[in-house]
Amino acid sequence: MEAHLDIAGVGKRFRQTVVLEDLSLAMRKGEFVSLLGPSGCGKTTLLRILAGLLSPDGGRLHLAGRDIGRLPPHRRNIGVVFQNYALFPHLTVFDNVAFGLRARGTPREEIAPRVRRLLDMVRLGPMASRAIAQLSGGQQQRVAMARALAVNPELILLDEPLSALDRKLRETMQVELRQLLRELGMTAVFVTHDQEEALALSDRIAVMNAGRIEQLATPAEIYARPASPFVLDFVGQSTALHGEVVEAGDGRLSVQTAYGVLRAQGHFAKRARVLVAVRPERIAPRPAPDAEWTGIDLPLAAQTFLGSRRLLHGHLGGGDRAIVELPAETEISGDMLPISWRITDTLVFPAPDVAE
Amino acid sequence: MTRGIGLAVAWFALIGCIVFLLAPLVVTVGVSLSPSPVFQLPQGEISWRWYERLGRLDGLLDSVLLSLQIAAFATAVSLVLGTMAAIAVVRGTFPGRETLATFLVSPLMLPGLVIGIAMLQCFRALGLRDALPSLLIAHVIVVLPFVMRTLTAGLSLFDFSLLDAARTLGLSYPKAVIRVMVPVLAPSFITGGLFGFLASLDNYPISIFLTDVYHRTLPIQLLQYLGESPDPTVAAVSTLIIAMTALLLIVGDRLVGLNRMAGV
Repeated sequence: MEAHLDIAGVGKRFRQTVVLEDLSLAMRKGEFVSLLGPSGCGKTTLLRILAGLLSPDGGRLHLAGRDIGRLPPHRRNIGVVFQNYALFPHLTVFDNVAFGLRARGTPREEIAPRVRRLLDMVRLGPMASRAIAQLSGGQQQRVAMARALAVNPELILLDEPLSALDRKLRETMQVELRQLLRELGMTAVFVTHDQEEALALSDRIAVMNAGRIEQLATPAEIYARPASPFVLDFVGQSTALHGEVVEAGDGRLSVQTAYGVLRAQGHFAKRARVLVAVRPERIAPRPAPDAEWTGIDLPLAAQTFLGSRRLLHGHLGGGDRAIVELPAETEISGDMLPISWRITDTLVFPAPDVAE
Repeated sequence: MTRGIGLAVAWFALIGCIVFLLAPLVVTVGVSLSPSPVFQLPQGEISWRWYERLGRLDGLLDSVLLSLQIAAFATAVSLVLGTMAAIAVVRGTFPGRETLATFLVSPLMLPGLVIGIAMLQCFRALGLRDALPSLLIAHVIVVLPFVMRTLTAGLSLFDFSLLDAARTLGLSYPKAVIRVMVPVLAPSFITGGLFGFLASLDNYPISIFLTDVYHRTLPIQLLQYLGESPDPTVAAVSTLIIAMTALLLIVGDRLVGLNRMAGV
């Protein structure tokens, strides 16, 4: 099946700095893809290139079978929800939502019912004649959504649309936003630096770093099988220990770390420097019971209580880190805790060039 | 107790200021309505004779039209130039932006006489001897700082992502500027334009160096009447100017709000 949005080999540099490097991404119709990464990773640059507000140095863009690479923003039929919403302060809620329809010369008699339907959809029907300044942050966010959706775009771009809202409201809005886009079958690219938001909303996540996509996969896969130490570190928490492969063969490894020898799965040469990692909820607070498990004795530094769970932080040096997630009622005493996990849950990466 | 006294002093000072500001205006309006041929407040009887004389006054209408034309031209040119300069100053990243901004507003701070003499010498050196183009150019310099000042203030608060939003919603860049930037910045345009227009209309020290017998702006013409035949006709003209200014301010207030106009 042909991709609805096809980004092929897009690059961008500002003077000497490479912001996007030969980036490709294809999306199905109706798919929700998050661009997740730290600030400066190029996610916003990519969004602006898609919208036509910035021209790439090279590469091709296709949307719904149309080459949009050379089209100006007003002819791309792409809706954008800006981070600060960019609502027109001199217009009412109604006129903001109607703006795109009027710009396209939609007949008058079609505009009013369409705007009303969208305002009802985002539960702002009674607010139509309000000024923008009279709305709360959450309401402004919904006006921005309605405005972008009013023109029935082929694609909607969301630039950290929830980042200005407080935590509680943000979680409610996440659910609403996802529902709304799903009902409309809208294809969406969502830019965020908030990994929880990306995990909660996306069909697929593109984790970006230094102008490249490090991994493009479903949230579950990104979390369970991160493709690189960067993804491991950026999405979720993890225990990560540096070490050297001392035995290798048959896809089985033994890795010497500062805290003992760990067994893992993978294909590495002997003497290779590696990073051995495991997710916190995969760890059990006991010594390895059999040959399917591996573990260390963890010196404890601190505990954080999170209501339903408890997090234990290890006291490790040399760029190593450890974090263990246990049910809240687990009683832990002493300074040392034997911990272990299944060998199949172990993640092994080539050690990053620069130690953290 | 001390607080009460302080409050009383403040009120007294406020009323004093209002009286001080209003008194000359009231006297001017009063004199223009007096039948007496010397400057005197009306003694019971009101007369429109000085207003009737206006129509027969030699050259008055010409000077009014000239001043209005110059002010309108200078304001229009300044709005365009000032907007572009303000965008460059606010959005640009070149070195010396601050200095340039200050320089463009500096005619407000320089004595008009200095600018007048400088412009006269400059125009002579360039071989420009005609009064009208000299006046037009000089008045752009009178109006431009007002426009620059209000627009740099307005633009520094303007969210340029509004233009991006308008473009993604289906407007080309020029249309986005007209449909979004112009209305959002309307208060700055109106305020800067209005004050600049009034400053041009009122300008004496620069114009005096550049006029000739055929081109006398209103303030210069008025001062000449005052020298030739000091009768209350001048007060009648002044009253009309006061009325026009008041009208402009009321219109401006309706459009923008007087607080915002004064607050620039």
